[in-house]
Amino acid sequence: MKYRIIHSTRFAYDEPAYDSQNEVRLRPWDRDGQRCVEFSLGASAPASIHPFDDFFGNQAHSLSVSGHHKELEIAARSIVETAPPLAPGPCGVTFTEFLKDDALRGRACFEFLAESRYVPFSERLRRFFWMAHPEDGEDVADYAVRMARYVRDQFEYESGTTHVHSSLNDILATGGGVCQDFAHLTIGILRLAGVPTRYVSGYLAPPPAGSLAIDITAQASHAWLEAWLPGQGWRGFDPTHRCAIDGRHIGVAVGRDYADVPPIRGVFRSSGKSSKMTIKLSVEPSEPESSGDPGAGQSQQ
Amino acid sequence: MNAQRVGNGMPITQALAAFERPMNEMFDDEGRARPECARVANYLLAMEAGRLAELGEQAHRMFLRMGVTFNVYGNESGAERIFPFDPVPRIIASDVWSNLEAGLIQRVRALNAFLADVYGPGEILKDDVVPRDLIVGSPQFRHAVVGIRPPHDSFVTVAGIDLVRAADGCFKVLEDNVRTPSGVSYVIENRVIMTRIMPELMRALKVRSVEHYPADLLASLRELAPGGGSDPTVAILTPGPFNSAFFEHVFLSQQMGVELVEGQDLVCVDHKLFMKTVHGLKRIHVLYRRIDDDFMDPVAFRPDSLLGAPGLTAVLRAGNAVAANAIGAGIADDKAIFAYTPEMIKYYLGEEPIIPIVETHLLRDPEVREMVLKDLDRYVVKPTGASGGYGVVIGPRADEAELEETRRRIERDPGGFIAQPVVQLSVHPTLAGADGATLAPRHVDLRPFVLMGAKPRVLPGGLTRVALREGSLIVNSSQGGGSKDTWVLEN
Repeated sequence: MKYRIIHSTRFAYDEPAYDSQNEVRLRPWDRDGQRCVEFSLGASAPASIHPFDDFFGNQAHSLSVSGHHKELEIAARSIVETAPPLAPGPCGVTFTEFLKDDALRGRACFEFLAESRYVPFSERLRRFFWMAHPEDGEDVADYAVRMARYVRDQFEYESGTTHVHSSLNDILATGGGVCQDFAHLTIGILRLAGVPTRYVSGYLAPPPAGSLAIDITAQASHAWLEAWLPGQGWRGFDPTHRCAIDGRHIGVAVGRDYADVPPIRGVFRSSGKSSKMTIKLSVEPSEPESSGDPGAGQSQQ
Repeated sequence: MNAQRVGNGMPITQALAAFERPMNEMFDDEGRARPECARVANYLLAMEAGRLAELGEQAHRMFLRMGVTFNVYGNESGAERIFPFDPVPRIIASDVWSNLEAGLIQRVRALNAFLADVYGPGEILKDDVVPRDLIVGSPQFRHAVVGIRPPHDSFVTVAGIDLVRAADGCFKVLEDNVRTPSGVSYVIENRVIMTRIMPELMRALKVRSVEHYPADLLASLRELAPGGGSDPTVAILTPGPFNSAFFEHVFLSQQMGVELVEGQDLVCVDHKLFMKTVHGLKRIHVLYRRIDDDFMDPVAFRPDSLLGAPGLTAVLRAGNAVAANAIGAGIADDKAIFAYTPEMIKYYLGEEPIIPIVETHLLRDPEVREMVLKDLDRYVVKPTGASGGYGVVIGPRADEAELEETRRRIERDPGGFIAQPVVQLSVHPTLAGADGATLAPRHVDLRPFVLMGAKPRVLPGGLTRVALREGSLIVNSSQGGGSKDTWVLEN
């Protein structure tokens, strides 16, 4: 499938802002059958933009706007081709076998096995893990699938119960959260089980026309996770939708957790007190035959 | 504003407790002056009683007049103090120094190769010479600077390598300081004072000069100009007057004739670094920074920092400015990484280490931990991430409650600590005694300064720190530690 993505973030300030320095992660990646065939990043004010590869291999951009501006819109436009990912299946390795190499992986994949800012190994998380820990004879890949479902079954999808700076303790306490919280929680469980796991920031394309699938996420900006499975490598799982990723998942960046991959992170100077951020996002099929209806895409205001 | 707490303070080290007889650097076991010290010993012995104390007094008054001071953290009065000075010089023979100099250059070369590697291809991690989790898991590892490579691989442009001299007379490395090492201003000021109070002795001995350090530092910094620019602008970035080493920041900016700036003076425009001047913006090519990584850039590091320049990391990445020392260099002086430095020298340079390190045990290894915890009172325990001597526990000097607390802290976070056996520091005759006029042996250490631009430059000698109180184990300036002038003799 081919999708057109327009992701615009508009900041409006009560007093002019200046010296705005930002780090942006908005370019969909090129790997695992996904190709970003077109990408442009622009700003509504004169900006200096430098691309770079970050520690996790994401293509990021540094974007700086020096002059005074009352508002700033940062817009990324991409055209992405996706291929259906490999179907999930057992990897043929049980936890007993898998954990024999635990020390080795502890070095090679340290950052994806250790706790991180949004995935602290809290008492709450440990207790939750003990209710769901893998059996010795369980296939590692099967466990990852089981957890992506299990986590979602325990909690409600509730926007508003948590916020962008929520840690997984919040979802464990409130019993509800959004895709980011489900991802963090599942990451925590898989890491405690010894499976290297990383956070994915990306988009979810609308279901094909005529499909009966119901999206509980009313937004196209999405988060899921990738677990490292023996013999299979990094495989994507979407706990929000209780499934392995399918061709509608468009990956942008990976990191230890949300803190490594926010779409835009930055600072600015202003004498004002407040700023307002508005996000407009649309993900829609870019082929004419599949997008005859311009309303087919999802958008979020 | 807790940068001042986190930042490198005054040079601090530990003069460690004695089990074996320490080496006396001036006199041998029979009480004869060592050959390189004979002249100084005769000079001192020929002095009238009270004369040396007078010279000490004179030196103290000169320091006050020159305003050579430091701030003491935790001293809320904020009063600046004089770094106590001992007028008895420490002598280093030329052959001993040549060997040390070669060893120091070798060491800093290896540390730079290591930094180029871990922030680049990571070969040493793939080869498992240094465990990858020690690097990636260290708070000193800065993910945000991966891929940034300064000219000449000069990640560490200024290094302060702390050396101790053991009972057998051999120098050993106690720790590396490659973030924002301080203390060099005292070396230069001490020499100015010595030239005035003992001019005849200075003339009689051929002592290698230290006055050229600021010129060497400036030359090294200029060699880092992005794209090999021929007329780069250099500036020093200071956290401000509350920093313990602020005197040194001012001193070096005056000596080098470069601007001293604070974060608020800097701005990044079009991925270039500028300082604000009355004439408008002036481009900066090389920033000699004396503030910690965390405070350098709120975009990449602590978002609440007002001490650095927003966007600086992106400017460095774009190759339009260079910071010395590089952001992230602290991973090379992490106390746990220190244990691997001899391996690093072999791995990158294919050479045997010229200066050995003090034996260092990583407490994350259960067997090592058991061995150390059994005899904790014989070890010095240090937190891996901290610099400047913070959080160090000296086993032989700790009481049972302190040892118990240390044991608990180690059990809770074994990876957070290393242990080193107590090293018997050498002693040096020092003005002391109740009357303040007697020579008595006191523990000393040495911090040489190594510059690495396009080529290495080593300051002859370095900062000798001395524990002024009898039996004192700490040469920490805020706890009765002082300094001596260090004389490296010419051939």
